[in-house]
Amino acid sequence: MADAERREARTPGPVRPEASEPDAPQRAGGRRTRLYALTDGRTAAPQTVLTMDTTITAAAGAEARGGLPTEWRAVLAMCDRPGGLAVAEIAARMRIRLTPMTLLLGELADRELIHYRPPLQGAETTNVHMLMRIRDNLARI
Amino acid sequence: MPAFDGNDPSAAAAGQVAPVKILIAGGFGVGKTTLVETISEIEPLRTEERLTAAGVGVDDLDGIESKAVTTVAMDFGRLTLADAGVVLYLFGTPGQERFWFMWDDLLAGALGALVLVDTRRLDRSFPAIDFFESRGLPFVVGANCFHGEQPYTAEEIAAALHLRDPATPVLLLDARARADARDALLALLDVLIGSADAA
Repeated sequence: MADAERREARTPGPVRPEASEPDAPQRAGGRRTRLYALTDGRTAAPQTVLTMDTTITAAAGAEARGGLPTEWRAVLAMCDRPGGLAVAEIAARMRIRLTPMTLLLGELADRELIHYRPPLQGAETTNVHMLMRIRDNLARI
Repeated sequence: MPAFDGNDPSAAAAGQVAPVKILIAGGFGVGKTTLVETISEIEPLRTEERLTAAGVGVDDLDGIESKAVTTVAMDFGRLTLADAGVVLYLFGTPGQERFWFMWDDLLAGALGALVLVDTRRLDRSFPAIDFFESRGLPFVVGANCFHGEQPYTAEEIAAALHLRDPATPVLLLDARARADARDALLALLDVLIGSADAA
């Protein structure tokens, strides 16, 4: 399913022919997809602020993705897996730098196309029981 | 980090495993990417960020051109610990340490760090140690044994590094050995558990 989705995302879509190469957003000729194309024309900062270690999972069903820009569909197909993918990992696989990737994903989050899981914060990272669970699991690998 | 407090309903919907960031630091050529590759469940990936910092390091009076812009690259991998409900992301920090100060996102949310040192070029890892000590991020030191040899003891290396906290663990390891990489992370968790107990 995810594979089919990914293949579909790679075929040039009718929506945005100038940005039809999700595998190579930064082309050899130095031309890269403009950020306003990635954000569907919006230039205001998204409301949702994401960090490099936030994990993203796709929210929208495959059937709802038809009219979306190619890069968006590529991202959704990529994080359509249990546990999702970190922002940094999506950026690396899309060959887009962290800041533009964060903005793009923030836009998707604003539109409720993705769910996101922020990294463990203060109280959790100093929780002895949580740390012990991580240690025990790590010791068994 | 007021933007997300962990109570976001979107987070609950997404979350089987929570991401946890650990930094792998140290000077150029000290084995950061090798260690990430050793323990990661995926081939290490590279992500880039462009940082702009007005007048880092120098006072230049030429105006806007004096802005220092640099692209930093980080190699990282991941390790899912399903039973603990977390996925560890191991980020190899970029070599341009003077830019770390402009990059709050690097440290934000990090559990701790492993600083790799090469005893032939100990000074290359000083900036990482200074940075983590000044920011209060817990870390352990791993002395990478190149060619399987290490002429110094852990005590000698600890003394040469002038660690602010003399109890900071210093381990001898081979970045290519999975058990060694794991033991270094276990040592970091012991430090974190120890300080959580004390709190």
